Amino acid sequence: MAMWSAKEIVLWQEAVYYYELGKYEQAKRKFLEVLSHEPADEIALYYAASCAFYLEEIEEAETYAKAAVKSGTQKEICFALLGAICIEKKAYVEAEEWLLATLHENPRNAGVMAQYAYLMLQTGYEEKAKHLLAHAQYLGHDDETVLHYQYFFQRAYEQPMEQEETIRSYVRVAGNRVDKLVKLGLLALDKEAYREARAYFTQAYRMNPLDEHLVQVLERLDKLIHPMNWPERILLKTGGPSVWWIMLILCLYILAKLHWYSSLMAVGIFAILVCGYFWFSPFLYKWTCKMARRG
Amino acid sequence: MIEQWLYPSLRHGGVKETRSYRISSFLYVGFFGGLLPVLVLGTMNGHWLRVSKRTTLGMLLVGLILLASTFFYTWMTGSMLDALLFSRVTAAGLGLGYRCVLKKRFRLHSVVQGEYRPLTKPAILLSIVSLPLEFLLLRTGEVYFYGDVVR
Repeated sequence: MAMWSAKEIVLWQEAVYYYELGKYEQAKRKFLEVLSHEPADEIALYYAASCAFYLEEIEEAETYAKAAVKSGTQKEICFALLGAICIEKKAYVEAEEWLLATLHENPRNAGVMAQYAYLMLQTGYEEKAKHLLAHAQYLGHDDETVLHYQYFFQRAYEQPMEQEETIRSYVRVAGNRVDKLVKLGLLALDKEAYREARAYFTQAYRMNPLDEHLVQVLERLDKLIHPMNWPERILLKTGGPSVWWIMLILCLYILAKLHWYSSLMAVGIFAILVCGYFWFSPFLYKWTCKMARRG
Repeated sequence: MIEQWLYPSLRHGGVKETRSYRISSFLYVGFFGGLLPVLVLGTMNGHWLRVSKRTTLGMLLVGLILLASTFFYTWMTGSMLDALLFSRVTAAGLGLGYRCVLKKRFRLHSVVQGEYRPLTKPAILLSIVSLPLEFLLLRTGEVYFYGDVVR
């Protein structure tokens, strides 16, 4: 690495500062400035790739990461990043090769081991995935990335108690506060505690107002916890619309077979009214929201 | 020990991602389309989600028994309309059954893949295909019923 001027050192510090704050747009700009002075700087290339990855500029991220691999000695982190990029691109075969290359460089990298386990789960190798995750837990049971993937394994296999424990550990060690809040929100959602989930997602949104996915989740939750939608909440808590449909059909069928036509009519009219409410309530909800915004 | 798992699987074994329809919609497919579409779509979905062969075959057997029972229902009552309603209610029940059986694997799919195949087109197509078959089955039952009555 060449000798740096004071200006370049400040540039580096600013870039890393923005990166750590999660302001990847500004960080990337600064790292690109560094690269204009020092085009083969492997660390700057890695960071630029990482910023582009977080900004979902996948092609650009891949170009920088490959350039970092060519010009540098920091192979482990670059291979891991390339693995993550390929997973995002759904190029799973390539992703596996990069992750295995990372593990070849450092077989004790618990985070990458967990990431590889999740890749195996995604691609249908469940047995292997479970073994790899167990090994990742053995290597770093308090590692942030391990806990992140462990949480998704437990969510996939529906282990709510273990999920809660993992989240507690994750909250202790994780640096990313938005991610912590999202996970707590997801846990509350699984428990059908919609208000609690909304509180977590709102906090996460306040920290990261540019996340469109969070906005969508919040809109859905707002709709769900609105007093107008209490029948929908009951419906969801009692098994969903399909359970109610089959109960209604059976009820109508039995009443028809018993020739209790007045009861059949009453149940039918009630069902039509309820259906009408379900079809009509979204429009009513939109209208109330519009009025509230105007007010 | 872990070394035995650190080999490339995807290059040779291929990617075996799970696929699925929204299984809660099987009930509607059953009620509006009948037993055969639920049976075909449910079996296919079970295969995609890699449910055990025993479960898939068990559900297939239940479906075939329900199909036979609609035939016997017409044979016993002679009313095609009643039998059709009976068939649709049992088909909706079968749809619900598939939902219960596939629930665990569907959860895994939802968390890991998070994408669902569109169900409307295949459901409508299968419903159209199964309509004459269902009619034939019920009509045969009715013919047997009246044959028995005449005798």
